[in-house]
Amino acid sequence: MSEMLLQIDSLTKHFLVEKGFLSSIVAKESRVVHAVDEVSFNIMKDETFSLVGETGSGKTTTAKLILRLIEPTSGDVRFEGRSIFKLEKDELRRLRSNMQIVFQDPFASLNPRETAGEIIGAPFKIQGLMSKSDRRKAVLELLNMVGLEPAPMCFDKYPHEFSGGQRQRIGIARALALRPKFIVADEPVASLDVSIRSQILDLMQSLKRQLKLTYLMISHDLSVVRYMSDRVAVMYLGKIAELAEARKIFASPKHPYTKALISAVPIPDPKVKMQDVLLKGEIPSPINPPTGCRFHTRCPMAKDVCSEREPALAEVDREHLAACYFAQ
Amino acid sequence: MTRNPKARVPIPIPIKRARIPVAVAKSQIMPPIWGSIGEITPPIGAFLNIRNMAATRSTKASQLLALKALYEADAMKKAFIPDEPTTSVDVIIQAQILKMLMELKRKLDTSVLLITHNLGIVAQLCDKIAVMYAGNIVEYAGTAALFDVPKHPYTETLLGSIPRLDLDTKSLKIMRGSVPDLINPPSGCTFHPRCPYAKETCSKQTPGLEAIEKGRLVKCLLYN
Repeated sequence: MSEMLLQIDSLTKHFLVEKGFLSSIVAKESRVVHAVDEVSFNIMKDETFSLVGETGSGKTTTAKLILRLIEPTSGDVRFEGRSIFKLEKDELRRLRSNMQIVFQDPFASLNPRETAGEIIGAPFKIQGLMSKSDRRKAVLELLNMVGLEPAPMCFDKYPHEFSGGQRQRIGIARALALRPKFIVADEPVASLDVSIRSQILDLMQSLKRQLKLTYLMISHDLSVVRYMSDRVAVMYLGKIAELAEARKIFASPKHPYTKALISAVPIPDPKVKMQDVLLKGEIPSPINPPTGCRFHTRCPMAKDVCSEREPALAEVDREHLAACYFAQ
Repeated sequence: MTRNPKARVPIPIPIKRARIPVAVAKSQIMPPIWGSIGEITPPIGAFLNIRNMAATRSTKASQLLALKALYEADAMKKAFIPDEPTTSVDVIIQAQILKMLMELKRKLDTSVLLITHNLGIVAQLCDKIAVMYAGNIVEYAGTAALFDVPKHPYTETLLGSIPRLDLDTKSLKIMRGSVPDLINPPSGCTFHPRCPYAKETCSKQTPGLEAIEKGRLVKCLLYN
């Protein structure tokens, strides 16, 4: 029933860290940030797939690789069966109209010197497909679609004349301009006031149904992820720790890291008490990730094997993957 | 509980040495603005402005160290005011900070005035809650009562608009409109443009913050 839209295959990204002048004379080795390491998963058509993790997990870098905003160190991303890294300029431009992004910060991602009409119309201009009047019509339609009304008035306003939620709607309208099949939503509501988050989430859901969109959502907010997602991958230090359907992963997590993450979130209900989070310490540096399982230094269940050999991401239950020798 | 950094509501707080009267528990409630408190320098010593710390990995650790230092310096004598202590912090560190806050409160037997937009933290940590909107306290109640039966429409909609991690949420309540303009605030009740229960009088008359039962205050014409 559902076809694969994207295949992410052993995707790896290492960043070189430049050492200072003196230290580069003294010690020749350069340091490498293992941002993303051998990450593989598929995104099916019409689903909302979420990448979840803390700072340094590699989730944002993975999203940038999928959109080819940065080049991988190794590995592949296939969109509708074709590798995006092997495309020529023209083909890449056509691909870009199929894959778009909504950014986290609705202030920083909009040019303050352009009107909403210019911002949303920019994709049309870049693709060079339409006359000015057709562009204006298309932009007005998009403004209506995202609930920015009256559209003609909003067309001429500048970002600072809008509220945070409205600016995010502009960002969404811009992403929808070329009618993409796939949208990356990078922390779409994290910068918004709590009272208006549900407006934007609701808009995203209805646009998804209306326009048959596939979403890749990046978020650290597990409650939003549970509400919006079909499937979820939990990332830690550049690797996937667990991957399953949203309901299953939150109702019965298998990986100790996922369990710790979930138990750390305070529930907005005083009758539901928070449990103790058994994790010690902080996330290790991705420059020198721990040997074996990267999580072993903080894991309450770690045994010898965990520091010696890295566990593979394997099925521990039907369609439920975890990278842990003791997943249960 | 909206947070507008541009809001400047004057705060008449009499400041005595090492003592900040915590207004929430008193019968005469003043709309506080926490930003001004930040300008007050020690010897009060009880204010820790965690909000302005940069959100880098190493400063998360320094947030915890700062808390620890305050504790050791015995600085939190009467009241402790953490301002958004967990915004832009990862979930695990957030839990560690919360745990430390709870321990500090217990050990020092101090009053804590927690400022946050995170309803999860509020539900877990707080005994009493004052919900603020556009510079006013619109509801005040004990935690269990507030979450069980929110009285003010803003509180009710807000609580219903947040997805749950422990449950399957079918749909979320939508709070319509935008965060209010504090330069030209709405007439009458400042919440009326977004209120699902608003009537005509709501745009003309400003409700008072009134007791509807013991220990519960609401600022809404539905209850006046």
